[in-house]
Amino acid sequence: MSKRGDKAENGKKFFWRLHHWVGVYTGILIGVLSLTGAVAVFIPEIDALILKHHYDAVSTTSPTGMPQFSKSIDSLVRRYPDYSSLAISLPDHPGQAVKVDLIIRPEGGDLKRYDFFIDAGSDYIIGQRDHQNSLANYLRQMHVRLYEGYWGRQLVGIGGIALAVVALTGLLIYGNFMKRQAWPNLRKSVNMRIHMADWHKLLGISALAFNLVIALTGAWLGLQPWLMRWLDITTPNPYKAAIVLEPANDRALTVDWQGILNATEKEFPELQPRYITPSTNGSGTVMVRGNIPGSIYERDINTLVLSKTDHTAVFKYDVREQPFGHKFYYVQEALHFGDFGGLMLKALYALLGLTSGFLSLSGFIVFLCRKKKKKANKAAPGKIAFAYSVLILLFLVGIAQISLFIGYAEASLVAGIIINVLLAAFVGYALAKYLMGSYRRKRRAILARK
Amino acid sequence: MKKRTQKSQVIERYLVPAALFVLNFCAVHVIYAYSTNSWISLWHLIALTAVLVALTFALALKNSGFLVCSITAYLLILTYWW
Repeated sequence: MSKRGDKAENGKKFFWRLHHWVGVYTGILIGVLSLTGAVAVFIPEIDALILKHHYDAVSTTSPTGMPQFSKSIDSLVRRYPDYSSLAISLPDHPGQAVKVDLIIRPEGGDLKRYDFFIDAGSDYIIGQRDHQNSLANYLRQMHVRLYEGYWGRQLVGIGGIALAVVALTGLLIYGNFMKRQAWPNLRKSVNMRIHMADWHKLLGISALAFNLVIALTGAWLGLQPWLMRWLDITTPNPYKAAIVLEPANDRALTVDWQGILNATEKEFPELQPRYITPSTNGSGTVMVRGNIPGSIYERDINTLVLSKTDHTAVFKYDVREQPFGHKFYYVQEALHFGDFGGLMLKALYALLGLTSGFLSLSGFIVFLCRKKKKKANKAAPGKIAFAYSVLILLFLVGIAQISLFIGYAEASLVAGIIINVLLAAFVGYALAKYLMGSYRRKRRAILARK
Repeated sequence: MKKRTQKSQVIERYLVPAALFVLNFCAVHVIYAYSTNSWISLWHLIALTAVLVALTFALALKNSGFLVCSITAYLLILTYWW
């Protein structure tokens, strides 16, 4: 074979090894993220269903056509005068309740975060829940940081890098592995390894572009805090209103919410307001955040800041008018969660997102089959893969139960312990295996020389 | 015979993966355009839908010319209506 041919062959072997090892060591992580991600794209829809059916948080028709919530907000502010943050979430569809996210930080006490539901027609508080213990929060936190507060988010980012590596190396070795097999044919065989390998190649190549986008955006979102610190990147839209009042006086200011909505319509007509946040730091402003229909950017990133008293616009952030860097920064989350094309797109995202989970499972079975063939291992690969899958599901369901029925902090503690113990054991095992292999190779070389 | 095998290898190893890659983006693009009514003109929407159909048929038929044309057509649509 020519030198060029050798080089190409070595390159393919290297990519195969990389695909193999990255897949083996991060397959479980990719599988968990695939499963949680496929559900996470539907968080707003799932939460809306829970609010409607579990909390009976349904709105009657507003007489003015605009959501009514002024009286309810006043009563909440009177009930919790020392709240540290209050965000009003406007309904996306008629019939949905207005949601108020209220954070209270008592001095020396634990942070409390509640969601209150307001009937947008009659302006009555119709229910409340602990925000942290909600299913929506569980689904988000499990996908975003595996419920591990210390470095869970970074672990997820590493999972994104791993998915990008396996997707790219998979593409590079695809041709070599297909040989004379044509896409989308599956070989007729009762052998589990061949069956799984064929499905692995078929789905891997079919959803490659999608998985690559998810992997790269996921890697950025997961490693964002570290990358921003290392590369000295600042958050776009770093607006901070000037402080003109005492914080207590700012909180006590009465806000004309309908006036705020009218002013928003006048100042930023394309904006669909979704969140209204009054200031509590003494700036005397109200921040209105929302979406511009048809644009592919992170939710609620377009902003209008209005004066609490005369409703004049203090600041406007329309992401469409910003430089490329801002647009690129804010497109990541939308692309990752498929939050820009309605329910159909979300369904496609969930379907394609599940392929990476299937790829990690099928890859794992192929790996176990190869191992069994080499070492005459008696354990059935299908059973081992099934046992791993059940353990993962038990972990996800267990943490969900703790989070929903006991508390977020307790669930986070348990998840943190499980993940960190498993991670330490996994790294220790990999290191020990590498050292043992290296020792055996050296010993064999010494014996051969003798 | 050898030529035919080579052609088939080019289709299977390069054109099919490239078409699938483009199809992923095109499918998301078409759903986005329909669900948000965000097409630039009716021709834009017709062209997008036609390319999605063409890519699907090209993958089913595995004709090299059809595959190349449908991939190029989508790239042209992206460039023209950017």
